[in-house]
Amino acid sequence: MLELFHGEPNAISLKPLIALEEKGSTYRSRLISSQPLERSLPGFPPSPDQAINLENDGPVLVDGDETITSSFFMLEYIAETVAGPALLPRDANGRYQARSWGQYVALVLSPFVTALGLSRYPIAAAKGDDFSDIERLERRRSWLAAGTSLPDETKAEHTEKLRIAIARLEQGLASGSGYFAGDGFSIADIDIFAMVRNLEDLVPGVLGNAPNLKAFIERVAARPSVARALAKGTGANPNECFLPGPEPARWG
Amino acid sequence: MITIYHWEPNANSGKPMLAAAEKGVEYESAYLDMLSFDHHQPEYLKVNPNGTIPALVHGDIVLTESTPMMEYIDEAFDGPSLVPVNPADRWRMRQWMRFVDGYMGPSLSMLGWSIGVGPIVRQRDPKELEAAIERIPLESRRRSWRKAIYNLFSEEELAESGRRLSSSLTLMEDVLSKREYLACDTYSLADIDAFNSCYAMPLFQADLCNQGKTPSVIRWLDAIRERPAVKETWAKSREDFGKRFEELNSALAHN
Repeated sequence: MLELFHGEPNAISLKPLIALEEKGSTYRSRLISSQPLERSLPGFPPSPDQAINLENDGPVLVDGDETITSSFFMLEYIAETVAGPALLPRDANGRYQARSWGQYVALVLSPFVTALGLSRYPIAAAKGDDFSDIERLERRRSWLAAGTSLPDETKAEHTEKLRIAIARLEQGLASGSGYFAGDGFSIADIDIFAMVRNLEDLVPGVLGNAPNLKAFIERVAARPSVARALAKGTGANPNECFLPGPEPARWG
Repeated sequence: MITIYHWEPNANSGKPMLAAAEKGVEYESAYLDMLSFDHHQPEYLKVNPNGTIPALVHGDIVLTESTPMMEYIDEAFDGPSLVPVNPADRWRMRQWMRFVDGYMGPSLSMLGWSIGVGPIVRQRDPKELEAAIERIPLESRRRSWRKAIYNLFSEEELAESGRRLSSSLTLMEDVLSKREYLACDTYSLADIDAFNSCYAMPLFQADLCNQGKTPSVIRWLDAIRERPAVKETWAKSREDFGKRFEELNSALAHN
């Protein structure tokens, strides 16, 4: 049986939960606490294939001998291997759109959402921990930052970049079907919804110029799969639970 | 017939070129001189308003993201598949492409611009250069280009790129010592993606990437350079990149 290790059902951890619920799949939900994956899952990462995950502390899907990380590629894996309703666009162009959004979310949108989320809701247990047991330097740095709020200047920069990303998402919905890739609900919608569903809490008014995105969020939030996925936590408010995500691009 | 707008066959531009060549998909090649900023000129902005290369035009479909573009080429056309059949291998393929695109590649290109491309571009008229930067449509790209052109990388940033490159190579050596190619034992899009960023490492990062330290990476690079599709694609080079490719080949011949 599929085994999904995940944080509280928010942001990156929420994605595979929604996909598995959409599929109507049986799987074991294993909630991990707000600490680095290595501490919750002894022996992680089992090989370089998982170590190269740029998401830091995303969910981990175990399917027999295989250990799958990186939330968007996990969504593709679920869409390709689990029986149930199709979650991939039917034509090559639609799938290209889905993958392009997946890339945009991972490299551009997620770093700012997770950093602003952690800034608003720092992980109390991370304060005072030196994380010297975390081997990969980027991961250690991201955990060292997880216990405190961002300086105002960094927060303002991140917010500005978030606004640009939201404008791009809004534009992505302007022409079409109300979905981000192809003419129906797909993994692209899950990928984006999980990251933007509660942004107004992090940056009040940030969706003010994005009526299509707001309507999209309401539409997806009404899906039964989302309610079931959101119930896979400890009972704490998942909207206040963030884990370190991907780092912002070093060039821009 | 598709059209690929591209610069030299390295990095992002080379990805759709190589994928098409491996599949035997014919394409019209539209060469843009990136160092003359052809890709920010009005004519190309009509194709891709963001002014990034490469772009692929297939009928009325325009694709502008090079990695998803390769999967499109693989799915939309006949020819040998470059995507593994096993879903876990497919996941490995995507995971390695993301690692190269988002971590290893940017470190390599920061070092490359700092020592290689930047000095060439700075020989141009400063006013002309500044006007060229101002024409770049995306603000984030304008920032990156400014940094690259004027070499505004700090010592710390360059050292960090070196560190990342070194740790990336250790991971790459590890997997390539256990399997033939990056994702699995067959050639896939992950190899095309990574080769395009890494092919010149034995020349420019010889202290990190060499027969003694990374024998499996060297074996892998040598094998890819020998592929007919790779040779055919590199024959389209118009700059020193092509010479560099030949240099690597002769270094191989003398080993």
